[in-house]
Amino acid sequence: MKNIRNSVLESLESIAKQQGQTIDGNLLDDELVLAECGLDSLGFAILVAELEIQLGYDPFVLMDEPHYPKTTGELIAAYERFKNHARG
Amino acid sequence: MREDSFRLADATSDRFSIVSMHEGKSADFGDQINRLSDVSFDDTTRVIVDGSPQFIFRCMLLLDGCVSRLLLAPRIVSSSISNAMKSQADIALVEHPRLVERWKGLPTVIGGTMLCEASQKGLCKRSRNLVGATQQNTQWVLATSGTTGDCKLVGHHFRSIARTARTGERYRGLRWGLVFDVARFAGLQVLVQALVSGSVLLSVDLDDSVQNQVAWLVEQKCDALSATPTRWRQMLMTDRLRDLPLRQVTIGGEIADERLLWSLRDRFPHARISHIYASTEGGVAFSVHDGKPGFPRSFLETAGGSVRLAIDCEGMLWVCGPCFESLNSICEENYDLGCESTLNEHQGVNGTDWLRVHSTRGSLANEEPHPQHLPPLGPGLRWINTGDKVEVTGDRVIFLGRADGAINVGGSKVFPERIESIVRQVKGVESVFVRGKPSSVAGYLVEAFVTINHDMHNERSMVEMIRAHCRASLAKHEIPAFIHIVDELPVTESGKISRAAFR
Repeated sequence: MKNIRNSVLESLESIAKQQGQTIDGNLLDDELVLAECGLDSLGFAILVAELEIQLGYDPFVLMDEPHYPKTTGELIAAYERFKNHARG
Repeated sequence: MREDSFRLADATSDRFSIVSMHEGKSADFGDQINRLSDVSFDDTTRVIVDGSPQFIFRCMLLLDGCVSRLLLAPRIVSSSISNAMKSQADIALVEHPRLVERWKGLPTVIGGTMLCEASQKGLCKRSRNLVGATQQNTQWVLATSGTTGDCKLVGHHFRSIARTARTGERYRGLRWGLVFDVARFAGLQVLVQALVSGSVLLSVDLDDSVQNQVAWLVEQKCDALSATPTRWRQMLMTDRLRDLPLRQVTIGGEIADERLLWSLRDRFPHARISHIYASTEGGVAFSVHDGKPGFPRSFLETAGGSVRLAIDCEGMLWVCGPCFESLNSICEENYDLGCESTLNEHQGVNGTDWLRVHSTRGSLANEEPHPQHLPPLGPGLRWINTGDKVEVTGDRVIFLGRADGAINVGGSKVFPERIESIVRQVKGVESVFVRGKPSSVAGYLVEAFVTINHDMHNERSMVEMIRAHCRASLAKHEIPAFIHIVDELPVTESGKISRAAFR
């Protein structure tokens, strides 16, 4: 199975780049506030769709009440929580 | 000639002929022919005809005016089409023994060689004696698949199709390429145009590659060709298209963008380029010949004796109906869809009253109240919503796409056709299809499938170039979030990119 943390961080970096933003590698930790890394709601939607392709699940569909993460750490936690839904 | 006696045999010019790309491939079925005289025909008979364009044409010539209905079988027959057609027919007339299976359950006549050998007009005259029928208005029934993919049978009369075919000097003696299935509306239009204007119809083998089709058309000196934008783009990718001595280039069925029009103008500087815009719902059509996308804004102001058009406050294009007779074109060509009637395959399957005379217009009139902000119309006229969203830019009205095909990205509407036209501007892009990809966050995201010229760029650099071009030309939510480079895009029988195949 893919390493969730790496997948999330790599996708985050590449989508931010796609959106014309550059994330300082040094700041890319669990405390990084998603809204401050240039990722708007559209960028966030693209990130979730991209991760669904990579990991095989979308935690925001699986949650009873979607809770949208504020920081990178919360985002990774959301994916970790539903990792038993991942494609083999 | 009285209009109601206007028939195929009377309208067919002596100079008309059909040349088939696959000629010589057909076998001799001499032993298996049933004689038509063994079968009883009368003016209530409903006949399916199934075979090559040449065969279908000869059957039409033979039976138009003699039987009640001629159902033209498309080249590719799904079980829903064959069931719908069988339920509405008494007999099938097929060219080849292998087609018998399709019409199982109906009496079937194999008539290939006999029909091909018989002289056209002679056969028709004999047929009148043969079947002993009184002259009547035979209805030509075509299978159509709407954008939703449902099968419908649509009835036309020859005179309604022929009324719009042009016979002027410009159209005489052309050599029309037929790249549509003749049993589809667009193909039938080409056939009828060729036969009334005394042209030669060059019928390509639709099973062969586009490259070979174009090479054959070049060999045959084809100088008039009608195709969808998707089919034109496929043909532009072949290196032989520029060798066609085209005098008439006709585009229809999908939105033609600036790049396609420019490419065609560049390849065929001396051709007349016509872009047909037909609204099946409205039963009206018009064409534009200036080689630019969309249509002139002045069309909105033309009134009286022409197609009246209007745009509502939401950017929807409306056409005036239903008094079709008063809607003679502002331009030279129009496609008369006005006398059509339709049948849903689920309706009236065993009944005799299957023709719900569509009244596409009549039924809409009851469902749709007159929009208050559109100009008032005289008695018997009404505004009909075409379902197309348009935008006025300077002196031009540009099509954005079907309103019901819009992708909702986080509450903003995105028109796939517009994105496709932007992506196609990137050098190296051959064809593109855009759709909405469901998203738990934004409702939908924009997803593009692209075929590229691999000689020019690698996949990765193409994706980057497309993205950069979209960033410069589109709003953020319109930029494809996902770009997939694919080997080919599925094309429907009618020559359009198959949206249904992507569902």
